[in-house]
Amino acid sequence: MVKFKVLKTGETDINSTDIWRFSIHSDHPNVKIKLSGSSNFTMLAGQWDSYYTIPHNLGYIPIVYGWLERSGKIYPCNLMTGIDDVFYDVGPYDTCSVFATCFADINNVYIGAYNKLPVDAPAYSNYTFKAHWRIAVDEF
Amino acid sequence: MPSLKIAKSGKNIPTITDNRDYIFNSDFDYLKESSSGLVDTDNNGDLTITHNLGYVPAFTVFVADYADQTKWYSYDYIGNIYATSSSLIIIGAMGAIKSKIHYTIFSEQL
Repeated sequence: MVKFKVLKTGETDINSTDIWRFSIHSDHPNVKIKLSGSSNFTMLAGQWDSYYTIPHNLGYIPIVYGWLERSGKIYPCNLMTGIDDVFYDVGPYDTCSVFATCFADINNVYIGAYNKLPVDAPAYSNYTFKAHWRIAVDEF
Repeated sequence: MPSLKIAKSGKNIPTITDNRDYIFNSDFDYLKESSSGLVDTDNNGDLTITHNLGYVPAFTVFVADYADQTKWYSYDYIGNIYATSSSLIIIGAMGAIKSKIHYTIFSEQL
């Protein structure tokens, strides 16, 4: 069978068995991105979690990459601690341990934030986040 | 515009209806690596990687204990990590100890 290969810059051996040396290698599937986007959503005061839902309608659970933006910083999902500038309402201006989370089912991808620690500590005020995503046609 | 398509073994491009059957299809987008590296944090697990792209890029990071690089972990083992338009900033990796970081910064703007 004919093979299609493109080497990365600086690589010279088209017959290499080190797949990482290739930008494209027809023996190995690439993760194909179907949907990309960004959108704001708000965690309201009194809530302890909030999610943005992205329909994909693939009928299976796709590979997904998610990030969560707050105050000019973009955090990876899943990150359990440390989103700056989010506070809970038990003693204002104590910082929450906010979990930036991303998960998927056969219909949707969900990107959100929830107050991991302290447990059951709702948001002190309204907090706006921005979800960023890349959703593949490929599945786990 | 012409497309470049490569089918998985046993699949015939004109009859493909499920996009999972492609190895590559130029009708889709791909995360394209801008830079990557295997680098060390300081003794507190902190590290700043400058990318100077002028926008916040997509990125991934994995972390290992500097003294035991047989196991690599994802974000939950980093105290805090975020990207800005100039840098990728890692704080308190592996419980705030010297750590090994593998990062990939993509060309795609978030």
